[in-house]
Amino acid sequence: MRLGWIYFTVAALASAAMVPGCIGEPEPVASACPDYVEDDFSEVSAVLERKCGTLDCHGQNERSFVVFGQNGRRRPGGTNVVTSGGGSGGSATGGSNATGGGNATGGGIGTGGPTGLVTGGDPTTPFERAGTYQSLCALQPEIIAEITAGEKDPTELTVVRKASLREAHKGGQLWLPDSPGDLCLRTWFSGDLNDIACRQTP
Amino acid sequence: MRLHLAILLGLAHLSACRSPVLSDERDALGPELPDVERGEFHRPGQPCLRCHDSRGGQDPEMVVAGTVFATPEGRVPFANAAVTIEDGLGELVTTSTNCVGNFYITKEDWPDAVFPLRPSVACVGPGVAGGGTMDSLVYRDGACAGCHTGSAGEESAGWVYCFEQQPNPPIELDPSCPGRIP
Repeated sequence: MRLGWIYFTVAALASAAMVPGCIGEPEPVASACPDYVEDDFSEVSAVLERKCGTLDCHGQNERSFVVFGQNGRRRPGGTNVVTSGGGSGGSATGGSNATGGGNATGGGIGTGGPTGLVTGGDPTTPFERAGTYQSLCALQPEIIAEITAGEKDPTELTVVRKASLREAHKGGQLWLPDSPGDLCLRTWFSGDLNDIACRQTP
Repeated sequence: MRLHLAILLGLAHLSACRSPVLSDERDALGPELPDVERGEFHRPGQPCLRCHDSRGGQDPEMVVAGTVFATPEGRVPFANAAVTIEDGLGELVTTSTNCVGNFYITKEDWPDAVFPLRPSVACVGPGVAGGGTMDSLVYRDGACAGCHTGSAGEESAGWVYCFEQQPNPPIELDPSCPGRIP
């Protein structure tokens, strides 16, 4: 009986000691990501949307890295102000394609969610690009801080490594090391964006 | 005794390999319609590869599969649409939809398909043609309905369809079709 009480007490004390380790929030750390500059990040975002952000990949809400945009997941909430073009049937394959009729992918139609944006509809908004930026910068903030401090190379980042298959990637190799897509992402993290490389990314 | 042990180990192995995520996704598809047999006409509009891929275990294993509807709403299947898939190496494979709008390309028919895929659909209706090519690529999920389900919204590109509106005369499901839309 006494032994049982000893076990119980030890277990209770051990549990109590573990509780503080599980409660409370870690101290917030300021992001060391390159500053959000709409003109710059829109170049990077366009590449990420095209190569990563489809609904069957990083356009899924469950992913650690989520990309928002016109042909993938639309960002809910906030203010999704469309700044240019787009609109119903605004996709390249819409009503004016060679075979006539509508867009087989269903783009540019429907009533959409609370923001009114639908996959395949209006162009990506700054609010959506900001969401992609936040997701990208939250992936490995400590390493990003070392990169912006010039202590590490962007190729240390998992997002850079996976896209070029320097590291295993379920979605396969999106571009070769040192190709335009790779340079676009790496130079943005380094704070010296090669926007031409971004635009050259197929 | 040894046989019992082997059976128990086998069962334990099976349960260890089963993905609860995949099981939940399959369960969410619901039962078969009672008057439609399993086969090429069943489950139009559902993500075929949840069962018909290497993890799903149902034959045939498919590379890509889906359903084409006449219009974005109304869920009227479109038969004989030409579906062309271009793979990452530029190889083209074409198939067509059956009377319930379903199409599929099996792994046996296209064993070396390389993702990403770019699908396009061409539909010829009474006095009208429609269809188009996807703006984005298919990087992972060969099940069209994985992304194209319901009305277009924040997380769906909407059904794959041929025409913005029903042509005149309207497209209808062939009453002799072994499949039907739930």
